[in-house]
Amino acid sequence: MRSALRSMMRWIQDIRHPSPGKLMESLDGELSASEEIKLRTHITRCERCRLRLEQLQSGLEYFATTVETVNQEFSVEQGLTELTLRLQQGSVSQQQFDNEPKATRALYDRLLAELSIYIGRRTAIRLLDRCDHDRLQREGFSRAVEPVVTAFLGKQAGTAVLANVLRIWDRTQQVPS
Amino acid sequence: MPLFTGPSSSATRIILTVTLVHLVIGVFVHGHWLATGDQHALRMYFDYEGAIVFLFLSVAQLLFASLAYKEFSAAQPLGSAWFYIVAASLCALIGTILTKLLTVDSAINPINYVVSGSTQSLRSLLGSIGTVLGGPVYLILLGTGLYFAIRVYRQLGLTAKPKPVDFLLVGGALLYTLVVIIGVVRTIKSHPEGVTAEHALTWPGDYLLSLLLLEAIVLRRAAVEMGNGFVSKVWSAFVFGIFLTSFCSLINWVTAYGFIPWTYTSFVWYLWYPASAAFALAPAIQWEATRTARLRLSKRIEELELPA
Repeated sequence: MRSALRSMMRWIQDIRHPSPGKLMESLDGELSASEEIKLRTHITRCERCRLRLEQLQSGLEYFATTVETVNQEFSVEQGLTELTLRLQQGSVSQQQFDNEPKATRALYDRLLAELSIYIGRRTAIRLLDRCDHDRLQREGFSRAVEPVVTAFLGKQAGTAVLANVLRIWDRTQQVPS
Repeated sequence: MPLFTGPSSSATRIILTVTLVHLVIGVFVHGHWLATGDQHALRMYFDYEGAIVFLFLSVAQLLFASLAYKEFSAAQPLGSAWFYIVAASLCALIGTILTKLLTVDSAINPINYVVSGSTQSLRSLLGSIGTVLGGPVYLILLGTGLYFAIRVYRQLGLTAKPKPVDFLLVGGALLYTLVVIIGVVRTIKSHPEGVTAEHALTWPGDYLLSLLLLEAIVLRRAAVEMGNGFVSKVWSAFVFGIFLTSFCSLINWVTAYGFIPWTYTSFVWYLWYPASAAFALAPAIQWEATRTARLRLSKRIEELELPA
């Protein structure tokens, strides 16, 4: 009976879709070995989750590439000269312009995944929409999200969620815009 | 709706496993009773194992509701909600001890060892107190708590417009209220002498349950609109508990009228356990949400190599 129960529990866990938070945890390497195996088993069978994981993966890859660029040795003087030159020319590189929505998208996806764990995907989308997700503003974001997370989780846990989300924001802010 | 989200789902796992194992055993016991007519196993199941499971679930409900309440300050609106839920959980625990442990003639009833002579009148008195505390008083407090929760949803602009299915549920709630009213009136008219205090004490609870059902419908819609997260799971668990309790109560009334023979509705005896588990799960999920938030933040702090 024990093994039948175990296989039933396994079956129940297997048919469930992992949450966006779980997928993020997997990409961050934060899942335990058994959880990782369960998630991978599910991914092999579920087209929807595989697609979602790929989207998150591509966002992260983009993030990693841009951070690498920023972390290269950088001369301030050279940078200022270049900036002045660009301002004089009155134009911004088209490539940088194209990158901006992509960077915002990566930030948006990560914030959405983190917030979805607590307040659900739909509410997270609503809150991110309230602060104009095309050009996410940190101040507006905190104003929109803080009352909701602290109202439902309490002051301390709400603050922990917000701090965690803002940490994600900080990491993503290294993306040039 | 997945319940095992986040790194700390041990509490919900334990509650679910205990309930599931108890129900599986119940299936075998029920099958044995139907096949042989032997009531011994059935009595053992409900008077001993069932009492312990109810006790475990009530303790879990009170424990996790208290932990959830601690997270809120008095000024926070949801703090008031959790205050009433803690009070309701305390009543549920006392009610469980009185009705499932001290009223039953079993070997685990301490009254049998402490009080000498006949304990029938004492048990009856304790049973009545337990019925009131675990019934109407519990439902009033829980209903007040849920009312505050709905207010928070409204204040944050997270309530949603009702959909056709909600009107269907409201219709069901009204039907349930009608069944209860007709049931009470018919019982009083046909057998006024047969109405016992214990029976009559459950009636206010049945009326209050119909009010709670309306609250549950509003909460359900709000939780569904939130999407799958810890917060929506908390209130969904309460809603599930209320729906299941109402269903069990409705079937009890229908059986009492004689519309359906009790042998067909005996499965309801077992549904009180998942209903009770749902009320314990709700605060357990809330506690897990706060624990997950702290764990995830502490991981980030470790990454930064800052003092926690």
